[in-house]
Amino acid sequence: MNNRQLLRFIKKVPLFLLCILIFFIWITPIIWLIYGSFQSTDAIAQSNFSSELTLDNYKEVFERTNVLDFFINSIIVASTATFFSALIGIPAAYSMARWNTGGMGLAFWILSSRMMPPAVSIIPFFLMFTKIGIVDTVYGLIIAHLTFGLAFMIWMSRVFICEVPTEIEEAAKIDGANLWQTLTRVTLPLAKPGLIATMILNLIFSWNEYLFAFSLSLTEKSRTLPIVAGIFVTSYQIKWGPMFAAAGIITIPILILALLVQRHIIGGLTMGAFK
Amino acid sequence: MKKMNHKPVQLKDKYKMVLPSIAVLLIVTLFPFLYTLNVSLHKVVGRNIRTEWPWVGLRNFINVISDKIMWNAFLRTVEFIAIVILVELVLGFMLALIFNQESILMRLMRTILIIPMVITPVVVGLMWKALLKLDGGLVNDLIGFLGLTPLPWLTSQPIPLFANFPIIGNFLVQHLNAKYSFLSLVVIDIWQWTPFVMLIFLSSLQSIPQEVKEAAQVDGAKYWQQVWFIIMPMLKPTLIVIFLLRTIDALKVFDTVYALYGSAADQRLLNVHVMNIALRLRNYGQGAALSILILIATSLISQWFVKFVNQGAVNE
Repeated sequence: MNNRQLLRFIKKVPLFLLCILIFFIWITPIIWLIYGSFQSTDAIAQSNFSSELTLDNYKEVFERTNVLDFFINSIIVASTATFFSALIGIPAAYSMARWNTGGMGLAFWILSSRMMPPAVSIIPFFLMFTKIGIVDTVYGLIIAHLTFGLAFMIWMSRVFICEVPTEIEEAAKIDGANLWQTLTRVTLPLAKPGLIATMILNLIFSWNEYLFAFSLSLTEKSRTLPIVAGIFVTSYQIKWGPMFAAAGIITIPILILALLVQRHIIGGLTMGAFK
Repeated sequence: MKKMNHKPVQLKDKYKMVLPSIAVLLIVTLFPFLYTLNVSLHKVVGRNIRTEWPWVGLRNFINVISDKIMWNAFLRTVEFIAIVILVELVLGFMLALIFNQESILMRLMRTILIIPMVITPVVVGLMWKALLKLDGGLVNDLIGFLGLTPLPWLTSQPIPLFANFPIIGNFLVQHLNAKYSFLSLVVIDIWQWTPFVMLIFLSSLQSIPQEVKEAAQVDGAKYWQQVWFIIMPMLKPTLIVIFLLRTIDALKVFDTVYALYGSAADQRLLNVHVMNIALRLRNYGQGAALSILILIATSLISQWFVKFVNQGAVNE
């Protein structure tokens, strides 16, 4: 009995070691980044961390860049793009889920527009926005973010709305509810957890977006957070300390949001092909 | 009967509900595409954005195709995609087999492993720039700790293992990017996306009915035989969908490359090249031509993916 237990334990050891190794490979860099942001630039350059933590890097980020403005831009762009995607995307998703509106043709178009590399849209957006005068504004960025946000929102919401049984809606209709009432009082509340997860994922994608932020903002007016970290990397020198602090400011909100929706992340990244 | 009564109302409503989305999608995807097509046929540079655009026919396309840097970037992109996907599939599959069991530790690992795929890609690039630096990078510290010589990860020095290959060594370095800088890009992508591949395989593995495996065990199949003859064939659709998804995502890679190397010509992937033509050289016509070519290539791949998703929906 005791022997068998010991054997089982020994069999688990390699697996346990592997877990540690995987933990080391995938998590240490992130912990190192966050821990490093409280170290001096020299300490990071030499990778010679001391136990003394300092907030100097964060101070420098706040003093030398308008990080607060970028932070606000990030929040405005991500939340507005997500809000509009949800506002017009969810009704479309409902219509497609319930009545198969537009058939497979519409569904394909939406899915493939999500798959498009953003690099191909920087030229038309830059030129169009220059002509109508919204280049270097948050409005331009919000429109650009709709390219991936709206398609994502429609596609994912469709899956969650399909999961709400039609019988419940029928029952509401028999009770005299019209379409609007059925939608707002029955279907959406039932699909709410999935829809909220979709919106949070959309928020994460918008927050992380770099190429549009980088190519459509000429001045600091419309820059979003991901641009900040790069400011400390120039061809002359790299200021590791503030760069790490900026990276920390960008990353920490994402980590919190990601933990909230961790069950839905695979579904979101595969457009519902897997859950 | 009731349904029949509702139908005319629904018919109107159902189009009302999709129209705003279709309108916005037309504005943010189809219209820019037509706009790009128009730009690609004209000479549009920094100086004449706001004035007349002279018609140049297919000259922009010809310039793109005869651009050596473009072909290098194209080859680098194809090679990048091929290598990362192969490694991620093999590594992800192996890890999924190992992790395919229920325990608290495994659940914890699964939670932790989602972090690399949601973290801001630019931050990933900058983080690895710090991890891979020659002096005082964590990776080289570790290599030094193991008693080996630190490697120049972020330079375009040739990798000795490939460079010293008889006969083709020089070719590998000159034309197939057997350089440390390219290796670093590959390593970073593998770091970022192997957990994703693994988690998808894991969820597919868990959907294989227990009876199938038990039946194989009763028939005396060894573990590797089970993997080869039962698990692998059953995971074939998963494998293809992951392959397509990773291809589509790898075609979008920009942030990490740019964070590591800026727009250095000998490290560029296609997206960086597009950005460089458009925003640095301000040759919008030529950039548009390249965008159109990339768009055609990627839409072929996404059509293939869409077909698979569609089949999955039919099977359900």
